[in-house]
Amino acid sequence: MSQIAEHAISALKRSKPMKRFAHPVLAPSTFINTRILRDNFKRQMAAQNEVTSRALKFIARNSALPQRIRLEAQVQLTSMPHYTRMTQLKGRCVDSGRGRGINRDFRLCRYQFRLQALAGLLPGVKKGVW
Amino acid sequence: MLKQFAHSRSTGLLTLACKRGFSNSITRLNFNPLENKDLNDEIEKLASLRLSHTSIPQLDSEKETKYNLINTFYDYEPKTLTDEAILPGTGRPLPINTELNYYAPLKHEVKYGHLKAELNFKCFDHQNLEFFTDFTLRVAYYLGLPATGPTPLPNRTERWTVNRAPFVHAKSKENFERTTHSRLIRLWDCNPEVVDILLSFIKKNSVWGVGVKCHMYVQEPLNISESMKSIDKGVSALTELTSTVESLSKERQSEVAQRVLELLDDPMFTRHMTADQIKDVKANALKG
Repeated sequence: MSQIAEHAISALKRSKPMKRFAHPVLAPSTFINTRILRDNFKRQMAAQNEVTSRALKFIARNSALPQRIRLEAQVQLTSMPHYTRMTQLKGRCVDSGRGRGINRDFRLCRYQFRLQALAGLLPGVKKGVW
Repeated sequence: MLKQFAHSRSTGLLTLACKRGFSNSITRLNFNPLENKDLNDEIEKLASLRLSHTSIPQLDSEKETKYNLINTFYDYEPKTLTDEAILPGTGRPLPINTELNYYAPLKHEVKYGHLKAELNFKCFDHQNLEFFTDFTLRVAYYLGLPATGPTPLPNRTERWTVNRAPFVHAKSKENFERTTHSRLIRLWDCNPEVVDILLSFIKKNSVWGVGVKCHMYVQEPLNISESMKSIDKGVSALTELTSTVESLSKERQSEVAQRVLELLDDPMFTRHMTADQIKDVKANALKG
């Protein structure tokens, strides 16, 4: 692990004056940079609020319920912070933090995928010959 | 046959390959007629001996059945007789169950044709997969489960094409692929409890890199249409708040359903309801 990563983890552990994020969260176990931390925070918030937002969506979209209740649910849903939404999440490479060219099967960007496949670290992946 | 059996027993330690030969060939008896010139005399002597006894000796019935056991030999497959030679280093002969590992797994016959479970094995390489399916068939045999398979299912090939370079040079690419092999084993005519035992046993003795998925099948009685009459309340659930809340309160496992009840009970929502509606919601929220 690089010195920067160690520094970031220790900063998270000391997280009392952590003003960047609204709620304290666990440090990610992957490669660490600012964008990874930001995404990690959103993921944990989305997981925490998943039940509530699904319940609110159930009320808002259930045509059997009175119109006023449905509208209230929609208002509550809109007033939830952005970081609680699933749509805010972005797949990032767990070994380099890159945000583009991610292979979903391995959660790696294309270059990390190639390096690790050639090193034999990905089970079953071989050089394609056909 | 007997003679040969006895002979092969007395030879003692042989290599495994020698012992496990098919022994259907007829062996000649060591009998030379020229040695015994007065054969007729000998036979007469024997006849007189037999007549001189008052009673003919009877074979013990237990001994007789033991003796006749050899005749049942040809009813079985595979038709081999092996030595009970003591293995060097162990001090005992090779157990029959161990020896069966050299043969294809035994299977019980499917009697009623009731499909109870389908085991789907997946692996990126076929050696481990074949070993594990073979092992599972043996487990099924010793549990008394009729099993069929392993049926090979179509391989799934995933391919990825990536740039060789970390930056630009997009014309130079590299291909990677991964093949998933799979096999299917079907279990028939059994209770779900026995399938559970099999699953837990193969899980305990699992092989690296082999995934197992199990579909279990249950047979329903024919009068299912009558039992469905009792669930007609579901239709009204789409039209009224009360019945919606009621059906939600029955879903104990669903976290979302419980959260909906909690939210509806909140003053944030109750301020939009009539007194009767609030009463219903409160009653069901307490139930949940």
